[in-house]
Amino acid sequence: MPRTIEADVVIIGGGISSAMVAERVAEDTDASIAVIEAGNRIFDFENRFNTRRRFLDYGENPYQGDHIPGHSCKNAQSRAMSVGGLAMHWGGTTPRYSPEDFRLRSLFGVGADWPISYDDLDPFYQEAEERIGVAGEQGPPEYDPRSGGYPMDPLPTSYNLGLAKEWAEKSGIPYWRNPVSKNSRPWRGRRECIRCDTCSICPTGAKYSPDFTFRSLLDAGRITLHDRTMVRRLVPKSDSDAIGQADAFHRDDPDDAITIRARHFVLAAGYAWSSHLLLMSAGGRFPDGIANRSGTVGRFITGHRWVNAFVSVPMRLYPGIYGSDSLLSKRFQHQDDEAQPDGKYIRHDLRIWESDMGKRARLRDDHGNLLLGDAALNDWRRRIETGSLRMRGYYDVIPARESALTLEPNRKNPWGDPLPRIDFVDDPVSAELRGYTEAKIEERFRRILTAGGGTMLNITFASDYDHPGGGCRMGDDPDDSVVDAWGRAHDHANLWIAGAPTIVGSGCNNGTLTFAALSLRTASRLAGEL
Amino acid sequence: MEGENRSTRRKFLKTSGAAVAAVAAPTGAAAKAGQESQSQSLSLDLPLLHAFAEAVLPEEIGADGVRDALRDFVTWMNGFEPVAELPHPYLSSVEVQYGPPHPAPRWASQLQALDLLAQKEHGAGLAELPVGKRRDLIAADLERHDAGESFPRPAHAGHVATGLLARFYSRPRAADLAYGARINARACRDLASGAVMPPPLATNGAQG
Repeated sequence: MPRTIEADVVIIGGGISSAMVAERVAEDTDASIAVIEAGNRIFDFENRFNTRRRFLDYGENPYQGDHIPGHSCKNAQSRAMSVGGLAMHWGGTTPRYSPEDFRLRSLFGVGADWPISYDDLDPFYQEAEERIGVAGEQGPPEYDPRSGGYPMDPLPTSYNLGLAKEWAEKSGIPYWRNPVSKNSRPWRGRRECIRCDTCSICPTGAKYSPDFTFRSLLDAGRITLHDRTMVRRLVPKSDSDAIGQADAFHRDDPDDAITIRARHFVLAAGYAWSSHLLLMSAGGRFPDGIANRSGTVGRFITGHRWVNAFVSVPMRLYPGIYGSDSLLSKRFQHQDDEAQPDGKYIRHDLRIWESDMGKRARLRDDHGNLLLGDAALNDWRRRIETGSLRMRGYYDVIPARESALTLEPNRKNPWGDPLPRIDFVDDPVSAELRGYTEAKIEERFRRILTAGGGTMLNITFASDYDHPGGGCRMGDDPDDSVVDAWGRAHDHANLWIAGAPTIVGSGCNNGTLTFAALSLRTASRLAGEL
Repeated sequence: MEGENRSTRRKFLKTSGAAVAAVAAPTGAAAKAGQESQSQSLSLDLPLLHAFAEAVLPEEIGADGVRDALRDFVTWMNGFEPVAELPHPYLSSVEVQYGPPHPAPRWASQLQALDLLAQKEHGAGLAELPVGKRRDLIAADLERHDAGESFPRPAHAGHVATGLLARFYSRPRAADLAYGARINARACRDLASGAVMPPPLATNGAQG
């Protein structure tokens, strides 16, 4: 039976960006808010010790049913699709981007500048850190500028990571604690972390995930939440370019149309599904899709690549206490002659974790002999006299315009809609510098190894982008961007796009906190119009 | 030595029933899966499994350690859910993956085959052989199964020896034994305690 959903604000998508917009608009206004999510509502917090146990013992998905069978974006980062989005699986890492990330064209002559600066975003970074609860350690101010302190002190440095920091800093490269959305003290109704070390399935709620925000808003009666509801088209009004409605269906009754009406629509469906919906909405006065007069919807999909190494170090470590804990250095994200020694564009972070690579029990020794009885235990003991660490650098990649999400007409979901694919394409500058960049990061790994002692166990280089974003990038020029500096679509006054799709570049750090901050900035402007 | 082994097996026979019964009662779908898998793990010949475990697990854990390891292994098998939904691989858009079928039938037949082989080659069942001879038989069988260097996840183990050892060495207490320290991996703990070196085990081989 056809039905209608009406609200002042309709948010399409149910991940962390949606949660930030919903919470901020609910606090600032009396507007009615509806959240529409295609995936399931998995509000199972009370069962998470059990799901964690089964994850550990059997490797089962701790969020059963957090996907839509047959509904995928080729080359996307994950199949996760549920209320809470990928931030349910998230490890909780919350670094900010660096000031340089917002001014690549001005500072380095590559890529594009954002229409906003780091300083413009700083108060929203701070607000995001307060809302989700971030524990962190102030790094050197020249590499880690902040206008305010972290909401919470860092979690105590684990024994292993304390040794790793001493070891790594013999190289002269400063390291500090990677900030995390894990409570070092009770925060906003969630308890203090007890280092269960399975942060992708936090059984205590000490790590933030968006389901907490949605449950809180639901309990307060401030939102309605429509899960299993798939929006397949945005429809502009006949007498203006404003969006008049969204056409949707419930996955349990796909033949019954749902009409969604709102004063404002917020698209918060991530870097893949936001562009997908805009392109799917092509027709009439908008033959290339909604918000796409510039032809850049789905374009400039961005991300960074990694170089990852496991190293053996001359110290006894005890892996297994808090492997999620990590060190961060933004030393080489900075603009200076040591970071870019050859005048070429190279910027990357550095991270270090404890590891058990090469230090696990095994069935055969180096000569292929089976290890039964005491032999396996003796072999294990011999190998753990030294420890292992994991080192990784994310390096910035400038996306080409051709780095794009497109619709595949011949690949359809179970409801007959074309599915998207992403093809990551480097800008020529990044393509040319790829080998140089990876060699330089490896050289810096070896510098640390030489200073601290140890050997490289293995090193690998990413093929595709991690932490993708873009597809609806922000800009001041409507001919070259999809949304303005506040996330409002250039072409539709009541359509807002929040978070990951709007970024211009991915910098060198996990983008989740940046997506949250951008969403809050969008919400602050939207709330002013309600 | 033989006498000690027989005594150990008799002791295990008395306790193995309790070990199976001690499995926590799950609910819903897990309960159904658990009931099905329990009958499958019970199809393993437990005395034979015990004789087998004595030959592949470290001797230094002693009879109590073997009993504890087998109790855990049986509990693990009883809780196994065949073809369970697996986590989405990161940086991949492939369709959702599912786990393997229950390994118990495969492992049970391997145990029986080893027992038959022992009778044909040595005129006595596996449990009646000295530990060294048992280990030689098992090692030869493992070589035929192309066992690799690393342990797989237990349910993916092609051979019952690999499954038992993979489970044993994945447990936090195995790491504690190797490191001689009370690391207690995977245990939730207060923030401060993770910042200091783990204390040594009270006694060598302590399994508490």
